[in-house]
This record gives sequence, C-alpha cells and structure tokens, in this order.
Amino acid sequence: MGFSGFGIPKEKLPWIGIGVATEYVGEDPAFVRLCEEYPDLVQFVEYGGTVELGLDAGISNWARSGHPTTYHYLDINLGYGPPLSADWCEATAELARRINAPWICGDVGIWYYGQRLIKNVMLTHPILSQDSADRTADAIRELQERTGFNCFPENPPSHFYPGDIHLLDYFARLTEQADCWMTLDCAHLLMYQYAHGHDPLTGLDGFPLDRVGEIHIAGGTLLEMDQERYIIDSHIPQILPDTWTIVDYVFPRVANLRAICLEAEEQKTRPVALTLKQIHERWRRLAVAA
Amino acid sequence: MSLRDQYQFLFNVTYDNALRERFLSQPQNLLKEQGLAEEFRPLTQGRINRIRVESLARRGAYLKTFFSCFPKTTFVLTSACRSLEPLSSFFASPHFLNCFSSNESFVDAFNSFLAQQVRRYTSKVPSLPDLHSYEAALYLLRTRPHDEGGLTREVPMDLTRCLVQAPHALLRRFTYPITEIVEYIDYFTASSWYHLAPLYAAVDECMPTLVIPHEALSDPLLALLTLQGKELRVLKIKASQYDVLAGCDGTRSCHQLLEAVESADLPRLTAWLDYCWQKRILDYFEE
Repeated sequence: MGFSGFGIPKEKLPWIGIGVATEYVGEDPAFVRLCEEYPDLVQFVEYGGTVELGLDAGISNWARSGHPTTYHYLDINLGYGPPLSADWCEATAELARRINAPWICGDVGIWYYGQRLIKNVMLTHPILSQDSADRTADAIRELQERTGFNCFPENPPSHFYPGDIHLLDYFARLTEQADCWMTLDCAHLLMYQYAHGHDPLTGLDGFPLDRVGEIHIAGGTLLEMDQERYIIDSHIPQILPDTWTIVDYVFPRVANLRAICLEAEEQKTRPVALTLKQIHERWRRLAVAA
Repeated sequence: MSLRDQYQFLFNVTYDNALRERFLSQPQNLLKEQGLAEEFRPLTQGRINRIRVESLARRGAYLKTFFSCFPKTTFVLTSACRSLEPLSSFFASPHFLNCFSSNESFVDAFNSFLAQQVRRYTSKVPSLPDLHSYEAALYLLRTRPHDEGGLTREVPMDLTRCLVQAPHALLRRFTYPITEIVEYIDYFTASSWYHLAPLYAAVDECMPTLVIPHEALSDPLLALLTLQGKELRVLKIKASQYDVLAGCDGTRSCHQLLEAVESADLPRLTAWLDYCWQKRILDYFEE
C-alpha cells in the first residue's frame, strides 16, 4: 500500500496511541475530566462531528493545546457512491484541519435520509454486495481527493444486514478498491457475527488486517429474544467478553495500526478509566508478543 | 435498480409495518413487484426476521429524541392512553413520509404530527393541546437563532421601517395556565406511571417532572415567550399589547401600527413597542 495520490502517504501517518471518543457536548465534556484525573491513559481524543454542529469548546481547547485529535464524521452518505457534495467535503475538511486531525474516519452506509440535519441522522448499514462495496469505494476515493485527508471507513452497527457477502469480505473488497485503510470496530463486528449465528472470529483468518489503521472498542448491552442474540450498541464502558475475544485476536495482527479508540462518550470517569487500563494492558502484552 | 432505490426500499420496509410483514411472509413476490428481484434476492434468505428488531430499535431511538423535545406532552399523552401507539403511529403518517421531500427535520415533522394527535385526545386530557403548544413554542425558541436575545439595544427605533418579531420571541394564546403550573400528583400514583417508567428507563431518560395544568382559563392567556441568552421568560401581556405585537408581521412600521390604535391607548402602546425594541423582541424586516 503506497502513496495513493492524496494527503499524507499512509505509511507516514503517525501512531497516536490509545484514546477516547467524544461528540458535540457543548460545555464540559466528560473526556476533559477523564484526562485531568488519568492523564496517562488518554493519548488522543476522537471527535465525532457534523458540519451542522461544528466543533465544541471542549475539543477545540484540547486540540489547541497540541494534543492529538482525530475527526469522525457523522454526516456523509458514502453508501450511494459518488458524487459527494463538494461543499460538504470542504466543510468536513475544514473541521478536521482545525483540530489537526491526521486522518478522518466514519461509518460507511447512509447517515441520513431527507435533509442533512443532525435531527435526521440515523445510520443505515450498507448493503453487503460487491456492487455496493465498489460504489462505496468510489465515494471514499472522492472523499479523500476532495478533503486531502486519508479516510478510514468503519464497519457500522446494525441488527439486520442486507446483502449476500460477509461483512469482512465487503470491507476487504472496499479497502482494496479504494486503496485505503479502515477502522475496525470490534463491537460492531460482534453484532454482525451474532446476527448471522457466527463465532466472534469467523472470517478474520482470511481478512487483510494490515488494512486496519484504527480500532474501535465499545461496550454493548446483550439481549436475547426468540433464540436470537442482539447487541445494543450502548457505548457503556463494560466490554462484552466476545468483543474482547475479537480484540485479543486482532491486536497482534494489525501491523499498520495507528490508533485504538474506546467509545464510551459521556460515561462516568472511573469505569471508563478501568476499561482504558485493560486496553493498555492488552495492547502492551499482545502487540509486544507479536 | 440503483443503490439509492435499494436503500429507499430498505427504509420503507423498516418503517412501514404492513410492507414489512408482507416482505417477511412473501418476500419474493414483494421484491418482484418493486423491481428488486435480482439485486435483493439474498435478502430473502437467512435471518430476515431480525429486521423487526431493527425497526423497533430505530423507532426507539427516534422516540427518545421526541421525548426529549416534548417531554411533558408525550408523557401525559402516553399516560392517558397507556400506550405508545399515539406516538409510534407517527412512522406511518404522511408527516413522516413527506418530510423527505421537504425542508423539515424528523423532529419538526413529529411536532406537526403531535399537534394533530393531541387534539384527538382532548376528551382524556383537555389541556393537551395547550401543553403541546407550550412545549412546541419552547422547542421553537431553543432551535431558532437568538444570538442577541440577552442584550439591551441602545439605538432608538426607526419609526418608518417595517417591524417583525425577533427569532427568540413568540406570541402565544393559551386556554390553560402556563405560569401557575401545579404538580399533578395523581399521575405519580396511578398505574400508568409504572407502565411508562421502564420505557423512559429503556431510552436512558429521566422521567419528566410531571407538571400539567388542569383548570381551564376563563379567558385565553396571552403570553410573550422569550429566550434571553439561555433563560426562558414567560411574560403575561394585555390584549392590546398582544395585538400590537401581532401586527409586527413585516408589512408595517411602528408609525403604521400605531395609526390603528385609539388615542387613549397611544402612549402606553408606544412605550410597549419601545420596550420590545430595546429588549430585541422586535427587529427590522429585512427583505
């Protein structure tokens, strides 16, 4: 994977460590308290933003102080394929530039129907077909070219997955077609595996994990109904055991990893810190062992 | 069939109960009708029943937003009916379906829907339409720009320019009191509360403080609702003050407004308009 014609060559993107996610809060976001109380645990912050809301004061101050920050878009429909809105891409790039993000990331699929308003945002999972992967790859190429940022597309959450190919086959094809790295959300992957009655690690043995530039880890709430298992993507700090199984499998195998993000926005500080410690400990143990 | 059409089909199946049940019982036939047979054949295999849970989860997420925007109206309405149906029927209504081709957000569309719904249930809770009007006004105030709402204006008004109300101010007529709201304790001890509490807990929301008016007013309460910074102000005003503010619709200047006022009221209403100008409740109409 070499230079792909936009932004910084992927090989030169920095390792920024283990961090936490935040979204637009306005005033006094929880990550600020976390960083004050546990400064060694948070090496970067990922901001989930929209053009409509912009940046909040918490993330602006954090980035202005020189701390590493990444930008996670919550408002770009990549699922339809090109063309994307040039103005929207530029506005997204401007937000990412203001926090000195080394790359941008975000779930693929359809973020909104109707007007592009934060009140209309409800992420729809991409259709898992080869055609859909190719069209989304085209959209990612356009997004990268228009913004000048490398984009790490992310596997989204859902309870229902339309299409005829495995989620990991979809992302293997997408990242190859777009020549990009991806954000692997381990909790979202577990949702997919449960939805199809698979084991947590099904399909990972043949997946090109060197395409994973960022890992997301989040807690979920497990429900069992009518002999089906459902995970509510609740972003609580308590990680499901099978999510840890996926994390433990991928940590030693992600040769190009640049960041690990715990998604537990606006949760109580102490439980988040405990989970962060577990992630640090696992990363030290497993990555070094690799 | 384009990807966009495929996503639109998925959206329709997710939110339209009747369509979804047809899809689950006769998937091949429905896909054929929709011209999606080839692209979506894989959809007819595997665990397609899970789309029911996807639908529930999405509705739940939207309802959480709606609860937070109109907490008291939604609580009182669902309490009175002991059901979420008056709210969840939104997803089958033209309000929801039409907002894709308009400039409305889902919340705005739900607000319009709720305005209709509450009128259907006045036999159960007569004050519901006013309660909703009140919350809709607060919602509108909070979502409209009001950057200068807290500052007093020193410059005198140009009496010849047309006037409009500023975005952080709203005139309302209420037939139930909104400034003397009392706790309606019966709702806390009624069984409906226990039915609803888990619903709020499920969406991680605190139960709204239950404050509903229950005595109708003999005359409509005329109120000017304003936001000053983040502070909400409810100002009871006189009928003549209401009328002169309602006249600020962008077609008349201060002079033209006062021409229609009886001479005895002129000093008082002139002072009232001047007060509203100073408090930025009024602004010039910019074409």
